Amino acid sequence: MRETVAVAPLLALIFVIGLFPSLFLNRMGDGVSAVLERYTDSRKTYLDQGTSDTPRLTDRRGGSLETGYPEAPTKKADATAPVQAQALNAEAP
Amino acid sequence: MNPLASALFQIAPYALAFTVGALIPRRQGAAERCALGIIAVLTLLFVRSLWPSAVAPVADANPQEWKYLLSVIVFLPILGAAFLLFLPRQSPVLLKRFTFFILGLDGLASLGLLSSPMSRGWHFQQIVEWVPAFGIRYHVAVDGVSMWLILLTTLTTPIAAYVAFGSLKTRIKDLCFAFLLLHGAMIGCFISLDLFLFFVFFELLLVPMFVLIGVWGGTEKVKAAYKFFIYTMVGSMLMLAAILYMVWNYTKLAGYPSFDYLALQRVVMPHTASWLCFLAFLLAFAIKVPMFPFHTWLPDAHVQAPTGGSVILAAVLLKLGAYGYIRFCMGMLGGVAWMSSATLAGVAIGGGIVYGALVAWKQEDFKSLVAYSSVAHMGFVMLGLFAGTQAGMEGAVLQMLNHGVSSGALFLLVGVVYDRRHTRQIKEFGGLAKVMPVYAAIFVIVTMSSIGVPGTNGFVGEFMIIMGTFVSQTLGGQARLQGALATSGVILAAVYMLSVVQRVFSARSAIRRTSG
Repeated sequence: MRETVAVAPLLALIFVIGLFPSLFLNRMGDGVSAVLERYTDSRKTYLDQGTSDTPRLTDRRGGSLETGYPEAPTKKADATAPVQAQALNAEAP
Repeated sequence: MNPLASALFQIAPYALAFTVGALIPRRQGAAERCALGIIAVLTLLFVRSLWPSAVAPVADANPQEWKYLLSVIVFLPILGAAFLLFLPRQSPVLLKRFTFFILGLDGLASLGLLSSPMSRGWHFQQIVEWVPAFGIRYHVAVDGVSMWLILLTTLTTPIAAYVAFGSLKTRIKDLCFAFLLLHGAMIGCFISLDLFLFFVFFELLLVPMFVLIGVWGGTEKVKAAYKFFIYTMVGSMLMLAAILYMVWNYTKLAGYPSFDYLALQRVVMPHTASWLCFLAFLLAFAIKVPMFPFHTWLPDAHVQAPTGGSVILAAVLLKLGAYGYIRFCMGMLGGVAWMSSATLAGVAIGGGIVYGALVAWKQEDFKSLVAYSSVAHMGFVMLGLFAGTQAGMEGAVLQMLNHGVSSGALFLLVGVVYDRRHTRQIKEFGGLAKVMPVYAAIFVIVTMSSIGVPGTNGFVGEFMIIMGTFVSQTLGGQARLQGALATSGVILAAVYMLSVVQRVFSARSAIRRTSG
């Protein structure tokens, strides 16, 4: 009985996924397309980087894919944050 | 309509499903009939709740998402494992029931993820500052990719535990602890959006898996456990180095440190550094998947692990590698991933799909055969990712689910005959269909799923992957050739699976063969 009860949900899923795949595909489509969009943009960025040896940050995209982005900590004293970093960000295409 | 009639109309499909489920077993046991009836009702409930007309997502709607849900799903089993340590070792029944209670509660909690239509963006997000000085946060969220893997985990871990409790009788407390900790760590990997947090969970799951193989495994369990541990650890050490290098770069550029995935996605490094970081991440995940030539730990681990351990290893752990590739290699180092995808697709096809299938065909150990079939199936998954198309990637994610279900079922079924005959040698079996007809029928159905017969889950995933490969721009001119070669993997899967079905179920039994 143990084995029958254990394998039954898996057997049911075999047919549920096989006969109604859209139930699963509908909910993964947006996540997959977001990954693909990032993937495609990364290729352009890689090609644009060329032979440059200077690391940089790409521009922030905003939108729903960047909710929760870690912002710079608020500074209590005179900032030691390098101005260069901000300049690099500003210059990034 | 009369309210009573309306209520009966609503309940009727579930009553019918329960009746059909309850009528399936031939034996008279009420418990078994009830259990199968409940499973049938839950399946119907699951399908109806996901049906498109049942969910009416509104385009700008912001559904109420309880931000603590993911923390509940992750920490419930981990805290349960900690609480378990205070329960008496002499009460295995109490320990098992407590474990099932926690896993069942966790499964129910995970169903809350289905309330969100998983539109574009992160869902159920929660952020808590952890070590601000180093930019480490407790940042968890899900999207349409990770949600299904979490649900796969919450479904298969209770099944694996249920099966393990049937065959393992010693050190129950340690077994329960290992399952709960493993469950929490696996889910933690799927939801982490902070790379430090991800690494913590990635390493944490090694320990219970090492224990599962090394304590309750077969004759060479210690060797298999060490091999699994060292293989995975080497990959993850290199991944840690890559993470630290990327964080260092971000700190230099932004002026503050962060291990956050969203932040590190913006780092663009010189090509050499990008390639090295990509290879470090790739190695860690290629070992986990496992991709040729880093697959040799898998057959040993599967053969030596107990049935429950094999189910979990095949159903969930291998998916961590593919998920890691999607999230971190494609998400953070997409440029290099793109440039190397054609080569990696060739490795996935040659070393995974074709080689895995051919080696599986020659195996005499049942579990070893299923282990190599896992290498082949995960080759399909990786091919879908390398193709870089919507169809290919959706097929890959779906195939991860499919593989979790069908391989989990296969290992479970192999465990059934091993528990009775104490052998996994295929030649020791024969004519099983006559003495175990229901088992034979179930095995054939799962075989069809593994092969990818239309109507079963395997067909949808494999079809989408092959279609995605054919139309892939990423793979360039080799796309069609690679698609054709991948199709041969489907044929090879049929060869080795149907061969084992014929030998185990249809051929003359071993006893009659030897007695002439």
